[in-house]
Amino acid sequence: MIDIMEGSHAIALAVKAARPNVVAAYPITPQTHIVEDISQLIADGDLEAEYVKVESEHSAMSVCIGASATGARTYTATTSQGLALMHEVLFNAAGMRLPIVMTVANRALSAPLNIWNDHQDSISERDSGWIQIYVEDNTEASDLTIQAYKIAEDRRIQVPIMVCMDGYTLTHTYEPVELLDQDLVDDFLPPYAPTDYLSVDDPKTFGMFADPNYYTEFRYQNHRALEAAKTVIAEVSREFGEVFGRDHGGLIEEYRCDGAEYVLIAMGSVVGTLKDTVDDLREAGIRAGAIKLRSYRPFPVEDIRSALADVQAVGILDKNISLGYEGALSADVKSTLYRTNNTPEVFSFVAGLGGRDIPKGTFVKMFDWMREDKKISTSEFIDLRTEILEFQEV
Amino acid sequence: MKEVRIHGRGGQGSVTAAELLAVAAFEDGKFSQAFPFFGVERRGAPVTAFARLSDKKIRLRSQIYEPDYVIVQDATLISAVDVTAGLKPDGIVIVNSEKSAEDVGLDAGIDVRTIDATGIALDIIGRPIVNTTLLGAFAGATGEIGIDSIKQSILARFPGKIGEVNVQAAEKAYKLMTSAKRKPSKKSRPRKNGTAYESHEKIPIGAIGKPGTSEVTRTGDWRVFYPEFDMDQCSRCGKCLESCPDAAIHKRELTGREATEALKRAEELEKAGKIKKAAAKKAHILYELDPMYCKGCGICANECPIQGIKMKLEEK
Repeated sequence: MIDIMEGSHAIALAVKAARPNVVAAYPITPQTHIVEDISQLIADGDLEAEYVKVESEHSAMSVCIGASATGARTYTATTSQGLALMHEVLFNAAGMRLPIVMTVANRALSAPLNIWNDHQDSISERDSGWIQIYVEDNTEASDLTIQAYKIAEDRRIQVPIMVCMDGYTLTHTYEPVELLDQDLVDDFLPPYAPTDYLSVDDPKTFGMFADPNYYTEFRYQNHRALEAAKTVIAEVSREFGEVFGRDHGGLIEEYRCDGAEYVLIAMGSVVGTLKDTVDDLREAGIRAGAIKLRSYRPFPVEDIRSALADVQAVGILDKNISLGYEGALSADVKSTLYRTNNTPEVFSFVAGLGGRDIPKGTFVKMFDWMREDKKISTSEFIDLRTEILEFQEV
Repeated sequence: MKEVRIHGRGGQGSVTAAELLAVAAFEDGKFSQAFPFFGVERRGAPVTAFARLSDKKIRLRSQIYEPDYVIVQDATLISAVDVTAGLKPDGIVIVNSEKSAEDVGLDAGIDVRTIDATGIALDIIGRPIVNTTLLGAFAGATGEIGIDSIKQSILARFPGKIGEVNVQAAEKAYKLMTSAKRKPSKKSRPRKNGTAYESHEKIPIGAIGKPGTSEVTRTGDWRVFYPEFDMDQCSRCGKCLESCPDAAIHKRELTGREATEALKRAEELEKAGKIKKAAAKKAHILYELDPMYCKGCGICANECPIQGIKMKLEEK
């Protein structure tokens, strides 16, 4: 069944279908509609769950951690400054291996104050031990919410997961969404039943003290779990495809990469525009292709190497910047390509920061740049308004 | 370069000892370094501190695995910690103990020097803080540092009366040590690779496990002093029980005939003027020490409103 609705509402319905026991969230734009809709569903009796109103995002995540440790299925959503405020507890959720699912309605970080979309917020939590998957449209966002629980709760990994969807571009966009059949969801996603959970009858401690004799080993186990998540993400995606008839791909999606000379890698909703641009270029006889990078952590090293084995040049679009170096995705792709055969030329582009729109023409510029083999600086800011810049040259 | 490892318990001043040693060596014109390794940060828990003395700038920052000298501030550690691990040939171990070198429980063939630092410290300083005393012993036993530099180092850290008594204690230990005979050891002790891995149990996913409990930590092993209750004066207010950080004081109430007899006996003693009325009226209530867990911190003695608890030196 398909219906038209706002992206945020689609997420609220997907969360309802996943039957969480506890939802704790603090409203922040552009995540607000998601948690408003969920609280409405709970208030109306359509979703049987405890909605915990908290005084901050730090508390929201802390509530999810505590609830998850008791064996509850938990959900939260946030963005930008809210995600930054969660920073320290994100590491606790990951270290305690609690399968919390969180929607990140991607938004820029202050200062300057900006409420619009880019990926700086979740990219800045790259090392927190959470799986991060970026989605292209609202059906994928909704479907991934169900998959996310199955991935996170997989006994082999037990890792929390962020479903990263672009703020406004997806959250506030009305478009047709493939709805989730509750019976199918219930079959696909059984109730959460952890082996270890807090109980007064059998007291346990979560995330206990680990001195230098143990800490490294805990970190290593956690790292291996994130690596193993690559297999689980792909498996769950395939299984979802078999049950629901929609497969959004594994760690990456290759689009017209067969015989492509120039390939652009991007994440999130902008990939749709990129695919259209690739079609235009192909029609004009240019052998362009695209890679939608779905799983940023774990990073799909093997998939990227194999997808880029025969291309001349690869461009990477970063909707973030590690100030003083380059876009995070570029740095990761470059290190992935180190010591591979036929390493392609790599072009790093920064665009779409703080809600700056990326039309097809911007992608055409990037492909032009790659085709002309222009040497570029570490990260080329595309569509930079140089006429308004003021800074001291040193 | 000479390397010194100090084994002690939290609160005994092991870290301060290492720091004072480094400062003293610096006063002697050497390069030096001192740093701690804390386990659980808790009074009485085993602590290791390290010091390096050298004629050149010290770049090495690892812990010390093959010490030239080991200082053991508390002889009860010898059964719990491998204090001589990696000790170099000709290395010296200085142990705070009133026993002879042969009797502290270290292998024959190790050059062990014992000194009753607790006795000296109690005698001169009035408290069982043995670090400065042991530094005097170190200067005497090893000759690595002049006693004058040790004195300067102590006085710089603790000016005034406290520094002076600590200096006196150090000097006394220095004199006792210089007259001690040396017993050379021939081979180095087996070292431990990195930190000591005591457990090889599998670690749980998510660091989820049984909650910790002080029940399994026998803090009674850490005790130098124990509290003695004067039950003839005690009004049974319970302040000692409430203030004990290790719940090592238990209240027990006699019942039936036992209670009647205790009260009767107390009444007679009270009439004879031997015990206080408040104590006599509650003679059936007892406060008892749990020696497994009392670490001798003395908080109960400090809190007792009638000064009815005295800290006594434990015979070990």
